[in-house]
Amino acid sequence: MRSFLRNLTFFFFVHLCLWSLVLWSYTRQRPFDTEVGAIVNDKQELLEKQPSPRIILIGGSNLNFGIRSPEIEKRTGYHPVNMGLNIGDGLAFMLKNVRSSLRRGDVVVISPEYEHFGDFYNGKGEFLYAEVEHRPSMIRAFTVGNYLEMLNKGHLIAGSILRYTVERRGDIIRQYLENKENPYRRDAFNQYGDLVGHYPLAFRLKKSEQIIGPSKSQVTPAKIQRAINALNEFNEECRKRDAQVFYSFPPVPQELFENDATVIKSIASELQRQLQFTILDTPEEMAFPIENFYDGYYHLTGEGSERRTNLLINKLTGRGINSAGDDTTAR
Amino acid sequence: MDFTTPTFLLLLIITFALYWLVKRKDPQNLVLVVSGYFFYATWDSRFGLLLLFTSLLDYCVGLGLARAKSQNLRRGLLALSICNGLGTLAFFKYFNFFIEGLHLLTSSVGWHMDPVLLNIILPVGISFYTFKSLSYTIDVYRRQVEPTSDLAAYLAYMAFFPQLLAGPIDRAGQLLSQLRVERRFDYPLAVAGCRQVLWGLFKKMVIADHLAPIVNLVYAQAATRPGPQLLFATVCFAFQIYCDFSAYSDIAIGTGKLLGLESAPNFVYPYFSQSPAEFWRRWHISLTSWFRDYVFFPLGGVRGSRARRAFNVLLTFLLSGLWHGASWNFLLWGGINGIGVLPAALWRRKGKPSAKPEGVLWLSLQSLVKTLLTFSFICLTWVFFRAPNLSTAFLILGKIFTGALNIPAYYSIVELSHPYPDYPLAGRKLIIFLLGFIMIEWLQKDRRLNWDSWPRSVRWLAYHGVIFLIIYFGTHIIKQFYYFQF
Repeated sequence: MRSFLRNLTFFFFVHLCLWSLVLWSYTRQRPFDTEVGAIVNDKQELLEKQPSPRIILIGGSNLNFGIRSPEIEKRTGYHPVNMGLNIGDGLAFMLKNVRSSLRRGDVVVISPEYEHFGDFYNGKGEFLYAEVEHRPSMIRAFTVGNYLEMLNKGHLIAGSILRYTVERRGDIIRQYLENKENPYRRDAFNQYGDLVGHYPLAFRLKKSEQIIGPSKSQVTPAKIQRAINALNEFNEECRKRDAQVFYSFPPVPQELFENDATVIKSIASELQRQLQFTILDTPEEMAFPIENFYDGYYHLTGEGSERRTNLLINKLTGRGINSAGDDTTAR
Repeated sequence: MDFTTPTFLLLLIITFALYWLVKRKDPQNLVLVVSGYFFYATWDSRFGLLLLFTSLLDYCVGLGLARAKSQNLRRGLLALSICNGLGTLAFFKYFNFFIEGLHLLTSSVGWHMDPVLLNIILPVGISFYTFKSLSYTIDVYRRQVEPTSDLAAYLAYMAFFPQLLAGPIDRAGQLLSQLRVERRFDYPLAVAGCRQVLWGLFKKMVIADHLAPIVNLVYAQAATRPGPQLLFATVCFAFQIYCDFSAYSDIAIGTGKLLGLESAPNFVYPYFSQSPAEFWRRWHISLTSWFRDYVFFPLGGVRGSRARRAFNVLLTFLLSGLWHGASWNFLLWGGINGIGVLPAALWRRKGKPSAKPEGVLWLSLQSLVKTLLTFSFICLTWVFFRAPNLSTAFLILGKIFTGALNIPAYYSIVELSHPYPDYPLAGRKLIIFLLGFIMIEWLQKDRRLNWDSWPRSVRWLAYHGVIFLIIYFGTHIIKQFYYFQF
């Protein structure tokens, strides 16, 4: 037994040495600072530094693409923090990540994607790993579910590192980042964390991409309940800190809304029945024409983001969220 | 918790550490029981009780059989065990199939009834652990195995986590007998186990998971795909199912070896067989031998008239087909394989294991032709196994045969090279890996690859290389093992 364990340990030590060579080459190749993932650093810093009163937006990429923070600031007087991350980070992580930074008087708008009521609640290992790669301290916001997800995908993450290194993808990524037609760059975001680089670009959502929708993410009553419990717990935490929470549905193309109406409506009805804070809108209101989407079914174009932002501002000001004193309802 | 995930590795490490730390038999069995039920709960905690009930019932039946004096009581106890095992299977797996069959039958005679179909979830691994449990009580009844009073050993036998979901169906004589005695750590066995696990992971993650998208794509669009593409996808499926299922067996057997428990091989290079009968002696051996010992032999085996022998063979294969799934596809698949095996059973020509050609060219050619013909026959039967229903299976077969001479359509196979852009192993690379894999299997078959004779540095280099290949080509989408659905 001892000789087996000794040999096994030595074998894995050699293997780790080989891996450290891979990682050394990988970190040298990768343009960490300019990649889109690096925006998480800017968003976290904004979350800490943005002065009160603040509107913190929590959700996935529907917020990155679909919010015009300067407009919100102008019309409500609140300073926005767009904490839109990646759908694959999961709702559990998104909520926990913001929780410790809450302040008295904050307004929090949560707009999770429908998949978070399915198998995206704990995120996906590869996306969670990407967050940690760009900001290791993000691991503090991980839940047990996130750790398990990361562990389960560990070999796949290792595979992507190995392929990146062997195929020298760093050079390809650099060329990609230099292309201004590509909005997936750190510098395509504004100072509030909104993605603005795609505004001049035309919509290019293909019909085939509409087929994939929330119904594919195994939404079940138990999973809906899990997400609602987390949302209510978060609201309770906010209430203790004198912060106010609102819920907003994500925008989706009209066709997708119709295709996935059963799933979307089952989520919406449970939210309306059980959520202990205000829901600002309805899924029907957030079903937009397909031309309002850029390259994915949550990714609004510049025009779409303007429409969604106006809708959100009207709903918020209608609920008394307006320190600027503008007569926004007149717009 | 899939075998290919790091969480399984973590479970294995914890089980391995506790198992060898406690050293003695009873605590070791307890570790296996706890890890087995934990592993099962990660798949479906609801049906853990069903596994426990089946285990306890058959444990008690075993004890009852040992104490029963009268033959009638012994028969009654065996009937109880069989009724429970087959009854559970019939309810969870075959209820809807039988009801639909009954509906078809009654409709054909003009009597219309509304079939009541239930939305039943199939408990994972039920077909495997039921057969394991049944083999125990039948063997005890036949006095081929001593009944055990060691409950922990029996529960560990039933819930042995590497075999729980998709076998091998190790009999009590093989596995339970090892769990009833003290175990000592065996260095060469553990090393062989590690090697087998590694090879299993390679087969599953590098070969099977990269063939699967090609097969899925073509079989989903069977109506619009030309014959040559369907033929190519069927050959791909033949390797996918082999690399997938034998990989599961390799990982299960290898894991067992790490815990000092040996199992008989479940696959012995089946695609090098020279007849369908030989194929079935090399493919899923634990299931084939189960049907041989508990169905075919009790029916009379190869004794009696030719008609009787044919009946025995066909019935055994039909039941084997039905075991795989409650559908006409599997039934027909079993039936066709039974027909393929008939010549060997009727003329009592026992298929010999592939003999090494003795340097005579025509002998080698003869072997090659036989192997290719057998492989072609098996591939055609796989169409029924893989197709979603009978009409699609016949459509695919029709297109394969009618499109065989459509030479330009063969060029369209290139289209299938890259079914999904994010798959790291595709096109020529995939074909090269597949050919390399076949070559390694061929060398191993004739024991020309003796790892232990290699210097340690070369062996380790190979192990590191295989680990890097598995990680490099591991796909982004974790796919369950194919046989989990049975």
